[in-house]
Amino acid sequence: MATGGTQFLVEGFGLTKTYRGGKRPAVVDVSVRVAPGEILGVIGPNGAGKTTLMACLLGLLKPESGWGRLGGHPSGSLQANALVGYLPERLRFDPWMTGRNFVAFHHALAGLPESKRDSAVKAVLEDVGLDPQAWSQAIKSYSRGMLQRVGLAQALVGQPRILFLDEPTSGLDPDGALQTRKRLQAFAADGGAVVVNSHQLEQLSKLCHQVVFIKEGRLAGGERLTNAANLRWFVRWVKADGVTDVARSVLATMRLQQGKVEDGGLEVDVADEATAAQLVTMLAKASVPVLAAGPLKGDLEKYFMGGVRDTE
Amino acid sequence: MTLNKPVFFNTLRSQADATVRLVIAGLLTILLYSFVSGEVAVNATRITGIGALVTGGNYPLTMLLWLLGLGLISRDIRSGSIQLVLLRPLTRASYVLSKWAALFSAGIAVLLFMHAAYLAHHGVDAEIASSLVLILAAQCLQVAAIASVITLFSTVPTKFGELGLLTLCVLIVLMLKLLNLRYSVVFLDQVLDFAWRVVLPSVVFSPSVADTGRGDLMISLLFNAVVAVATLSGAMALMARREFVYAE
Repeated sequence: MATGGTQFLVEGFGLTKTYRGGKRPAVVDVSVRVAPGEILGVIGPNGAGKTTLMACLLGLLKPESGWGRLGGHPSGSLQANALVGYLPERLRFDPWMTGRNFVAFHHALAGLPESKRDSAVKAVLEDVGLDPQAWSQAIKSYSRGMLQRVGLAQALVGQPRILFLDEPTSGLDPDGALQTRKRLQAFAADGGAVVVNSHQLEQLSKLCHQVVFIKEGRLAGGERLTNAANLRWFVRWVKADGVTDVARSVLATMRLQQGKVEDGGLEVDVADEATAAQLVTMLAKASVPVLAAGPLKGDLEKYFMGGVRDTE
Repeated sequence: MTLNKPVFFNTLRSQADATVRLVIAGLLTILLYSFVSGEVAVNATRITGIGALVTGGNYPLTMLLWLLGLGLISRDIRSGSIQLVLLRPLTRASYVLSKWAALFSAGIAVLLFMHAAYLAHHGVDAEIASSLVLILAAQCLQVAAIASVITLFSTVPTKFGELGLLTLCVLIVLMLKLLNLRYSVVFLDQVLDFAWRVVLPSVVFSPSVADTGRGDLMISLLFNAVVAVATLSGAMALMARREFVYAE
């Protein structure tokens, strides 16, 4: 699908939006970009302007200044809308609709061929893990978790390149949250871009490649998680006889703690990327096969709180 | 700007979902049937036959359409479901047109029922056959105009809903008319008549004088065509400007 020749699927530049005739600023001079294959998390306190930012990027709101582009097309244009799937925080629907009706309606709205409707709807409902018995039930009888699943199915059904999701794992059980996370990671791995609003920092830390912090409508901070200088890193190597002792001596030389068993190897946490790089080099020199190294996710809460405090 | 079939059929399906509304619509249809198949008294004057088809049809038809059209667009706005629809590749004008078309179709179905009932009871008289065609055309435009006014009112952001807005408009016109009884300003009276016919489009017909009757029908036809186009355009313009966000 054409993306207008841009390297970013989502672009927002200098977005400013106010309410009550300019008296209440909701979003002030916010810029974000998301490349294909990336997942952007938007974090901030309640009322910080996350939903407004998403609505400006989607073209549901017209910013007073700045611009948004989706796949190189102006936000709100038909070309941009054809690329987008959106899951709002609270799903709204006609009360008579069943899960199947709802997804089929959005398949039709997306302008996709009627001949493929049944199979496409079935595939996407299976994909999000909605119990087939619920497909023919009225959505108004759905639990919160079922609503999230059918909402995600609705967002995915138009073959979008970009997903905007407001609290996608809210109300889901741990298994459902894991499935959703894997589905979104697969979507991004296929070259899609995802923007996620959420308060669930643990989920975001496992899901996102970058996060932006919104506070009182302003960008209070943003970080590419894979490059975050203040995140701890891990290094993992092969656990095997003869290797373990060599690795232990390398760790002792660098005054690091001993490794713990993790994912079939031995792993150690280090303070930063530079230390991790040094350790990988030394292990390689000692002929210890290194399995993986990277930033430790899951520490987003501390990171976020620090980011917000810095702006105060 | 084209008709969007999913929105069109979804609107028809949503109209059929309100049981209470359908029951009242059924009762109104029976009332309509009794008017056009028998005779109707308007201001103590008994009108029968073709006159009843027009005069008897005016207000029940209007009430029926208002009943079917309540929440046409405002329900989507209030519930927030419009957000997801407008994020699909369809223009807002196409969305409004499809909503209007669904209501218009329902109105045309009622209109055809009226004419079928009339013909079943009165048969086709060669003298009035051409008038019947003109009456049907004028009433089609009446239905189009009523559907357009409802569509416009349904897009206006008020707390009272479209029925509240209609009541407000009607009350304002009636109050001004009452006030004008004292001062008898002819121009104001004409303006108020005009406003009344815009808010509640109708068909005027004087069957006693054939030529005059046709003249009335032509005027009604043209007037309602203008009202339909103007108010539907207004609804589209309003929707194009509206923003839809639902706070976190």
